[in-house]
Amino acid sequence: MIKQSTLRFPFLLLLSLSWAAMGFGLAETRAGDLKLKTRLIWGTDEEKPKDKKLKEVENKLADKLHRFYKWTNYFEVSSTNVVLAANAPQKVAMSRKCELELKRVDDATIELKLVGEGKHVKTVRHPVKLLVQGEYFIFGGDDKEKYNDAWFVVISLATP
Amino acid sequence: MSTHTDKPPPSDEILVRLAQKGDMATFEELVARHRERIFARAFSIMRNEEEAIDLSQEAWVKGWQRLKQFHGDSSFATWMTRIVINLSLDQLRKQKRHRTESIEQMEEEAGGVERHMPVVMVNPTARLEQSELRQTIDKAMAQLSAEHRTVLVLHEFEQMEYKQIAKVVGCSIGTVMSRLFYARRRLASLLAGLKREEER
Amino acid sequence: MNRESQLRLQRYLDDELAPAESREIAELLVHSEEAKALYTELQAIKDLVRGNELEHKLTESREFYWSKIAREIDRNQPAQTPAGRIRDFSWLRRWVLPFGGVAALAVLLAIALQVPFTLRSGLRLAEIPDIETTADGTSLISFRSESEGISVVWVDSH
Repeated sequence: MIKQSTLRFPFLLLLSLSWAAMGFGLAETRAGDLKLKTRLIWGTDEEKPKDKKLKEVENKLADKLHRFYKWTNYFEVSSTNVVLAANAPQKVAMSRKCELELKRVDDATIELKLVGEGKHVKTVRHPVKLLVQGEYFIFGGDDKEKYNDAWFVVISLATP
Repeated sequence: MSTHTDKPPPSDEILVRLAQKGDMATFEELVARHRERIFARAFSIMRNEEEAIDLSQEAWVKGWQRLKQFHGDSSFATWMTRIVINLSLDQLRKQKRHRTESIEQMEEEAGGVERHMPVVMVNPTARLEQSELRQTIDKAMAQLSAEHRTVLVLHEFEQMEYKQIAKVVGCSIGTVMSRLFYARRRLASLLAGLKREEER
Repeated sequence: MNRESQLRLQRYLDDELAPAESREIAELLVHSEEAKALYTELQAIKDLVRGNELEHKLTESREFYWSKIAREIDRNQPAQTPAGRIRDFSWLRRWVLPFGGVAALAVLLAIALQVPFTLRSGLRLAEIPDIETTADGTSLISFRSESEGISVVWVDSH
């Protein structure tokens, strides 16, 4: 009898912890609005142009981009913080030609719509949980105007 | 000296016929004759020595198992090369399914950029010795994605037509043409870059 | 030159065009400097690559290389098991395997009932559907690296 209860205790503890963790996670994403950071990043092998106001991408993201992509430099062209509430889609102009539309589909999912030169390029649905955990979501593509360069639209959780 | 040493070595056809009857020793002789070529083809696609060795050995095992299906429509070496190419492409497909990296390849696969590439000088490798030239080309080819490199290898080294490549790779002729075009243009640009580096 | 013309130029180079089309391209090459330059580049690359494959040599000795092949061939040969021996253990296969299967199912069920949360709470990332895309003409390549915490959709807008 004693033996059985000792066996059950850690299990029940684990169970309640799991419930608590799950509840906390849900509450976090459901309660407040989702604060996101959207950035347009330029991937290039060129040096930073002196005449442009470009920001170096922070190490954490730069390391990830270097891990997967070949470009030598990643410069932040623009950055916008967005507060995404339920039923309130947002539009962010990333550049003259590129626009991002963000929408909360439900508590767990956001919809990201990329519009280039006025044309719908791609819509993806992405789990909020991944962003909350600190992951990055990235749209990327070749720069049509400049050979060997690329653009990245990076969406991440806004840091306080 | 004994006269049999002066005899020409038996042809592949003879060895294949004996091996088809179950003679492993003659099959081993065939392996010894063509192992470099089979390995080289796997390596040209995979660009990884260990993987290429494994795949080439797997190809020989398959070759032995399917030996009775070989009717001499092509040379034995060509038949074996097709087997190792198929195995290498299967391996690439498996890797692609599980791949969570190598986005460079995606960039290339997306295609299109080659249209905007400036035409480079005609002979970016002029004045190089033959061995240097081969190494430079090899180095540049290693920088292509597996998909682009494969099409180039099949077209230039195996001298396959577009249709054959499409069949082997499992894609449309249009895709073969696009990949080949990209691969060539990218290679031209890479070779020009490598030459610039050497000149510095 | 548009993409179609560029690819036709390449087909001409690779002798993959019908005679009538070939004549058109030959004509184009006489009049268009742009086409001529591109053709020259493609041809140079083709010639360079075709005759210059680097010989990648095997580092393994003939014996060592063969030994693995021989082992695999032996391993894949159908086992020469005497029929009598199979008959001796047929009762085992008939009874033990089905019971074993039931037992394995029971264990799996027990595990599922015991630890429902790691499997169902959504804490396991592999359970999360990665990316949903709407249907349109643009093709894309998507991937996610769990270890790097990055999801990418690479847009091919061509």
